[in-house]
Amino acid sequence: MNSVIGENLTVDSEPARKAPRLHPLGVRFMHWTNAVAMIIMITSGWGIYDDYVIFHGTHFPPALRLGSWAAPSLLWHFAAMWLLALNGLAYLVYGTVTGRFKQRLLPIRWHELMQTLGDSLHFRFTHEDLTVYNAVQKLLYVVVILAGIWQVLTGLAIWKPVQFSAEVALLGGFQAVRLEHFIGMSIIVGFLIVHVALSLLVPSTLWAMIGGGPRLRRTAVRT
Amino acid sequence: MAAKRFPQPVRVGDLIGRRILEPLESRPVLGSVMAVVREPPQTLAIVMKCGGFLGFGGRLIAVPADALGLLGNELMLLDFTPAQLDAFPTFAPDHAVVVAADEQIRMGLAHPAH
Amino acid sequence: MQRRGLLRGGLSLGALTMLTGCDVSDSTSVGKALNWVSRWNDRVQAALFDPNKLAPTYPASMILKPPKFNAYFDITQLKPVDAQTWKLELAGLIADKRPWTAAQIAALPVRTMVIRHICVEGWDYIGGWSGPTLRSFLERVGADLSAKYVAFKTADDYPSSIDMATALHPQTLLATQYAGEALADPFGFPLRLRMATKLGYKNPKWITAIEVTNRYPGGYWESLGENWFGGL
Repeated sequence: MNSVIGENLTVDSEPARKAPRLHPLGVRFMHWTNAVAMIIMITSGWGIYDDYVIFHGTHFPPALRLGSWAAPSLLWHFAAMWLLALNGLAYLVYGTVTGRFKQRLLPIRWHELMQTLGDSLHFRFTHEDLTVYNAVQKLLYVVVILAGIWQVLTGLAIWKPVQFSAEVALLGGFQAVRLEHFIGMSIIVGFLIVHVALSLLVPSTLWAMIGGGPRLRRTAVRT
Repeated sequence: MAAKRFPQPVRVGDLIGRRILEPLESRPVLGSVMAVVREPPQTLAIVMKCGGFLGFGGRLIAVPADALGLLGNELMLLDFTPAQLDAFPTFAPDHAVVVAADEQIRMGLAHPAH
Repeated sequence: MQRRGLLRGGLSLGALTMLTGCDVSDSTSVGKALNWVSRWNDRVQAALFDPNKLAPTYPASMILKPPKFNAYFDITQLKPVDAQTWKLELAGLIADKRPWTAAQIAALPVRTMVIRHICVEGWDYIGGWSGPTLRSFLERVGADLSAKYVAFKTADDYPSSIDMATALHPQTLLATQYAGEALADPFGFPLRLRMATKLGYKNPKWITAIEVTNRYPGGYWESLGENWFGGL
């Protein structure tokens, strides 16, 4: 016999199902797949960039490039792009359909953002409840998701400037698109530096992305 | 040296403003073309602004056109090192004749530096 | 970045320690996988190629004169073609395989186009080329237009090949002129391929022979790991 006790709890003859973890297995899989794909794309991209630098007088040092010259860099780039795009698409669909994006990343409130930024700059990193993202986290994740989409769009324009000539024209021309692709990469690299540093400063976040993290609190349970 | 680089006709006016690059992977900019002149006895030279920072400072030097190569809409320094350019005397316009913009001169070609 | 000669292979990114020592030549499993994906990308590009889509064109005033020289060798090693003795040889699935002289080619109706040359390295410029379309030439010599590939041999030992769909594209020319004048020696005299829908390295210069075939012909840079389709 079922009887409703609390708002979200029911008691019946079957054992209650455990609440889901902060990072379900699918999320963790997609996260680490994305990490590998992004690192390959960035470092092979640096190898491609060095073949004709945009910023005179500088280039990425060979030790940081994936591919000993441009041709292997291109091979890596055009292979990993499939991994990045398909995994990224799966993540976007998952995040939308399960409501995860809405739950985790929105809303971002200005005063919370200023508060958290202030804390961070004073090195006050606490994260008692991993299941609630602070405003800076939310902003960073939204930015990197948008940057990833931007890289795919500008990347397609560089790859196919005739087939996608309308897109190239919209973005300001071929060399402009190269610069835009470079800027998107810079944003993602900036994110990576902050993201990795913070996850090492608060290691429980790292374990959470490996093992799944804490179970979500009952009252917060949705779909 | 230039003859081996298959000199091609180029319009003098098109050269003005073009960047002059060092033949390295990072394509450092050494200066830009300010003018094309003929110095006695009939040597074609590229007057370039050398050194300085962000368009301030620097000085003018005249580099023999033969020592540079055309590289698309840029030029490459081929027969001197940047250090050697620093030792060039500052350009003295006394005997130089500026070549008109619509005149065609011949310059050797360069190849991307990789 | 050493482009010439042997494929250097190897990864210099120490951080990817699991891949240290791997290289991308066909002899390793990583290399094989990467080259397999590259062939897969050829098929994707062929599917994305719209035979009716024209590349943007530009006013003649934007033509870069002279164009930018590039080759797998330095300009000082260029060996010009002797126009007096040069002939265009034909081979493969072509009905009339008689060779062509420069004068015979010059008599063909030409098309002119001003398009953007894009190099895989990342630079570009606006250039103007004239010549008969490759399509009109292939039709004239009775080539099998249902074959898969058109392959080129050149005086600088730079074999190259393209897909038939691109060969038949209206902006694929057997160019004899640049900016209204005969091609200069460094830019492919007397005959070069000029497409608007492929990267620069796919456009051979100093052509000496054309073959229509169903056997994958490959190419100079393709043997070193560059993608074959190379489409824009």
